[in-house]
Amino acid sequence: MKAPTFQLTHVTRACDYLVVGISDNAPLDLKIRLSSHGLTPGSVVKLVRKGRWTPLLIEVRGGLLAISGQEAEHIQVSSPH
Amino acid sequence: MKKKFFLIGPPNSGKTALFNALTGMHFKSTNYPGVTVEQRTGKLKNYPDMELTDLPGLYSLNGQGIDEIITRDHILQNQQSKWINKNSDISTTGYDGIILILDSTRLNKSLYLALELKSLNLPILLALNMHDVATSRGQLVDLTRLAEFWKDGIWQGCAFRDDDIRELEQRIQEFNPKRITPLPFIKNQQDLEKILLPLNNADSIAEFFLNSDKMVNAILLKKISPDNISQRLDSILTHPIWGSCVLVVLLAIIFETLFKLSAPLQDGISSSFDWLSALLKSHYPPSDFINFLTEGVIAGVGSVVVFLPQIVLLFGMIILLEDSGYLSRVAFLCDSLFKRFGLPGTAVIPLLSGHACAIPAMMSARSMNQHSDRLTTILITPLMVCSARIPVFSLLIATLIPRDLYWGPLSYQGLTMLGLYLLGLITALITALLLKRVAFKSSARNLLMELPSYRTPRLKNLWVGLKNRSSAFLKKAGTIIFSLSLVLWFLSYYPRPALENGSAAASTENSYASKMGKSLAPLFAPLGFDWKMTAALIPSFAAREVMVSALATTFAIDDVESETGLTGLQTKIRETYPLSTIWALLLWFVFAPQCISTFAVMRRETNSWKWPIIVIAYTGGLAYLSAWMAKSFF
Repeated sequence: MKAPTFQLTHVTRACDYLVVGISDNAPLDLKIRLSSHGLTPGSVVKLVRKGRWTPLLIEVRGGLLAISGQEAEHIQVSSPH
Repeated sequence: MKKKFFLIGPPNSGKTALFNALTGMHFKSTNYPGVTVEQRTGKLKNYPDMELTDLPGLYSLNGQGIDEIITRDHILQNQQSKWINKNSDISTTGYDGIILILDSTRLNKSLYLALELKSLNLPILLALNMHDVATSRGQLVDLTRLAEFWKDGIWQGCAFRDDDIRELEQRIQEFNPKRITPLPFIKNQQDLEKILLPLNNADSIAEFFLNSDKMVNAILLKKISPDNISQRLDSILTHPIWGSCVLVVLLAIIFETLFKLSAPLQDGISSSFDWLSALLKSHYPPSDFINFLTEGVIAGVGSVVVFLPQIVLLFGMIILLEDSGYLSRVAFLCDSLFKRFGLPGTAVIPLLSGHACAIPAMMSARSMNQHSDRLTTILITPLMVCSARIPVFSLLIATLIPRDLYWGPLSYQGLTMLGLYLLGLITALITALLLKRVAFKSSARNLLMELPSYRTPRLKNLWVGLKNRSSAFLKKAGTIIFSLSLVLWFLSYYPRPALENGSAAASTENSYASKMGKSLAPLFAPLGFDWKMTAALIPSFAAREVMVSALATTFAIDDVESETGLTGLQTKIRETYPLSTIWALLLWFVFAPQCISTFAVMRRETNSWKWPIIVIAYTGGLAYLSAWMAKSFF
């Protein structure tokens, strides 16, 4: 069974490990920018900070990545099995 | 034949630190991504027949930022690129190989770039930097195994260790690939796409990461442990409330320190100049030459040099914040606020750099991906208070506000200085909002930025940064400010009409400077500026500090017997002008157009004279309006 997916921006709790998926309608240049930071479909990230007043902070490939707005909205996540 | 190598790597992997160590140069190297935005070339210290070119950081050949495009075009020898100097050796004779610097603590991320470049069959010497940090966190790399994957050559070490640098020099000496000439590479857009398209489809990206993960698993004997210190610090420093509180306290400390710690040093420098002036006056009879030395050279240049301690302190604190990795957290915290004004949080870094000098600040905007974000950041950078204004602000604040006036633990002088910086920032943000809404009709690109790990600031970086900044300030004082002071002394001292008793009039009232100032006086009369201030405004467009030296010189010529030095100048200003005029002058300098070289660089970065002219007009208008309001309402 396929794991349910959410928009990264809708995940409510920090410190969860999540599997990344990029939405199909994300612009090509955004896909390239996300991938150059290690955010590719199937990669595992940890949500470090989820706040209303700051961007999202995720741990990806051993480093911290700050991400906000449309960039974050195109990232879909699901819980790892 | 001279060998030529490119030094490349992902942002913040320590390229410039290695470049400095290998060439003996002293370029800025610190702890946030995007410090290097242009190419620099130097020779290896111990092998002068080898040339290194330090290029801006890039995550991938498909990067969209100008800094990434500059590096890509150099690597691929793109003959169509506007970023490669067509007269440089590199564009005509090619290069011998790439030294690829990777951050040892982030191998699972940075090997992506290595594999991407390797797929183009480029000769690459792999340099694993920051080995000391990786080792301290328990990582152990099997170099023999890595050499099976990477046959061109490998180095592992730290840019700050001499032994490691000597070993890297040796590796570069042994690295002897066949020269890459420009001819087989890019001649047109189709050639470029032929190379890039296979690299940026989903399958190739996934494959590069898969291979990078396989490689990491094969070469790591022990995996790196998490950076617990950075995680603990980030739980506070990136918190919207606690992080903002820390930022406000840090800013208050910086501006408080600026006045408190520098005061004794400034008094010391000022007394030395006073002593020198008094010595000359007591040993030699009054003459034009002695007046030139005491009121032109010593009063003029000395009144500016006295602010060196404040400049050194401000830069020292900024360098410590940058090198610790905190600056990226400031960008993170400011993102939501900046977005309301149409700018991404990443604009914080160029804007904060603008407090040092607007020129490198505008260039550092190259790392911003969206054209309208970059252009807006360049256009508002002149509103950030640059270091050349510190002498003017310090003099006028100290004239207006007594040193011992406190609000709790904070002095009113420090708070006023902080207020002027914030006034510049707030105006810059409002201008950004107007530009984005009216001129560009676009919203801010969202944030996508790596935050570096925290580290203890390196004393060497602090020393090099302070040395560069102090010598630049003293050089400016000894050249531009010195020359302008001499011209101003001449214009303020001559002509000297003879009095009835045969002596020359000791007044600047009939001088050339007076005539010049008075001819422009009607323009500045609504602001309360007299001819002395007006005459000093003109050369201050070449260097802000000249306003201080000009006032010091004209007051000293008019009253050679009065108290000299900083305190004497403050007393003279207080006695001569009403408070409203001093406030007007202070606000004029918050907004007034920056120096000429800033606009020359703005023209280069925007590729048009239109934007510099618009900026001169709006900053000039803002300066005039705010000074007029100060004069009218204070």
